[in-house]
Amino acid sequence: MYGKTLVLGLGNPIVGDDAVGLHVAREVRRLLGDRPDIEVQECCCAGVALLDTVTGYDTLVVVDAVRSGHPRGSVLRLDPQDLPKQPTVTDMHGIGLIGALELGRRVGLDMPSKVRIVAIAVDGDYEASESLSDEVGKAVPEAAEQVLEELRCTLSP
Amino acid sequence: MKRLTIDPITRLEGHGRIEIFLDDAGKVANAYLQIPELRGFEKFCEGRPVEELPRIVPRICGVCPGAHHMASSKAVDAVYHVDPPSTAKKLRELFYAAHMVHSHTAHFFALAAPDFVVGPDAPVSERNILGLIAKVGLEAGKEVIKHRAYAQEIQALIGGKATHPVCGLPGGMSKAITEEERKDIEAKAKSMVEFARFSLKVFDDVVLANKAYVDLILSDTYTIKTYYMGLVDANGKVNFYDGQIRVIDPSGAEVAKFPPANYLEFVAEHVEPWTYLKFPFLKKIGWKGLVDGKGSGVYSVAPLARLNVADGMATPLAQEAYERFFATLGGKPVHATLANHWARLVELLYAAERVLELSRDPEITNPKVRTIPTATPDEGIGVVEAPRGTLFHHYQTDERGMVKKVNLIVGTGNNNAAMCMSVKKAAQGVIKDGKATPGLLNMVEMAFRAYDPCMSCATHSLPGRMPLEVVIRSPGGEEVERLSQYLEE
Repeated sequence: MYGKTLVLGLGNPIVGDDAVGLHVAREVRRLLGDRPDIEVQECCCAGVALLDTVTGYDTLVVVDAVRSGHPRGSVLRLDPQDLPKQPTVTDMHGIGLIGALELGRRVGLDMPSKVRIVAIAVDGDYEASESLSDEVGKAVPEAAEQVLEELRCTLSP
Repeated sequence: MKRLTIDPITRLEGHGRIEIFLDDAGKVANAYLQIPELRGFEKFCEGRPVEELPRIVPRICGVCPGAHHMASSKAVDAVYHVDPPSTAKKLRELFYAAHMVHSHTAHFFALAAPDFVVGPDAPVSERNILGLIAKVGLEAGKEVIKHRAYAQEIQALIGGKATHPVCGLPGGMSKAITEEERKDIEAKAKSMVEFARFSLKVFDDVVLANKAYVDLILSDTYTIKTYYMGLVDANGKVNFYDGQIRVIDPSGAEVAKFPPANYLEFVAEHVEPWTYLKFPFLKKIGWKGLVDGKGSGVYSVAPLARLNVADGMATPLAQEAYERFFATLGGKPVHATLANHWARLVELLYAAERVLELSRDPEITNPKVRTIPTATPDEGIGVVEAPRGTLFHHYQTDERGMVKKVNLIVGTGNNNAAMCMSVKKAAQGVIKDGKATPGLLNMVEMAFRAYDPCMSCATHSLPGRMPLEVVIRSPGGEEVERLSQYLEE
């Protein structure tokens, strides 16, 4: 079966830098060309809604904005363990990526066994806008390259 | 004055903050709930073609995209002075009832039930949906996941996409449904009705069977007596998609019933310097501050308000549940904020029954789902009952249909004053001598969580969860104690 690896760009297209994951996903799609074994999706959703998207894949590479305190536009490669531990799966909406995966596993859905995260640091207010800041916009090619590197690592035997 | 901050609020999208001010004796003097808005959105819409708005507004929020899409589609119909065909309206209502099933299921099982099933003062690490599953069993958890997915699939089938629907066009819908799709919806709806009954049973077993919880629901700490507002159909029954707006006073007497397009005659907005979110109030009663009672124009919306203003539910099983609700809680209107959770489940049952009814409507597969608009666009108002309360969309355009002005009053906005008052009252009830523990603070959060507020923040940046932090300050403002549930990580 094809499509066992999913590159998932997360973000909101009308909230400025929050959309960076979507931009990176588009760049990854362009660089990858036609790859039957890898799917690239853009998603403006969160929480349990992510379950609908990630079920059935072996490998998941998530691209998202992160509020980590790093300088705006920094690109980080993270393991799910790097995110704060998730004792607090508290909200169907704001359940968080790791919480959604954990919930999916507990109720027996087919969750990805390998999960990697490429995060781009953002800051600032939530303001309606369709454009990225200069710093975050400049980080898009690097982040896309990191996703490809992630794919090379996870997909090589 | 001491200051005690709960910031940001857990379990809600976006970032909110509760500020509790203590007096020198350690008692709660005042409490404020601050809800930030996605700034600049109304400006963002200006200059765009108005028919784009139904596809843009769902991005405002990851929680209520379906509600915004529907209110927006209705507002755009009104801008173009076009009446959609009957099947289009039924398809929209079907989509929207499925959205309600989805939203109410998520709220009850993820946000509300953990407080009761696991216990309001349980550690945060257990007071969540995984803790809930641990307690009520994996099978129940699977049912929740399954029916949430059913509701999403029905929305995706009609709306084009589950989370960000694209079906509403000026004058109707982008596509009809086939007989095969109708059958699929009918089968899922049957299962959803059973699931809604199961959910009410969980509430019975876990909450109503426990006297301490019933006492908590009915306690003065969680009671405020406001006006109530909600949509009712021609028979005075609860309706989510359409109807007239009815307002009752704290004694239950009807004080207004009006077509949504006249809302500006009845609703005005008060501004406070400490929050961006405005305080809507009843114009004819007037703004008297954050106080309840008949003399204050503060009103509440959302499930409890909808049940209070209506004469009943339009479907048989929900009607039974409605009667039991008021018989148990002492008649109409009910002023117990926490009863919103029960009211939400009565609505869940109605929504599931309504999906089933509409899936069996002989007209539902009629291919005529659009009336092409021909009038010159100018101005329009669209109103629906969002899961979290009455939602107003008001657009003005030029003669080419380009947006000149947008005004939105969202459900959470309508409840702004009521929520602030509930938080203050709960804080007064559970915080004594300036002492706050995580369990006590959760009891304060329960006061506003009952309203199912949406922080209207659609960003999903990692790590995707909010820490809860409590800062206690001395009368001089210095920090004397900091409580945190997660900061050790």
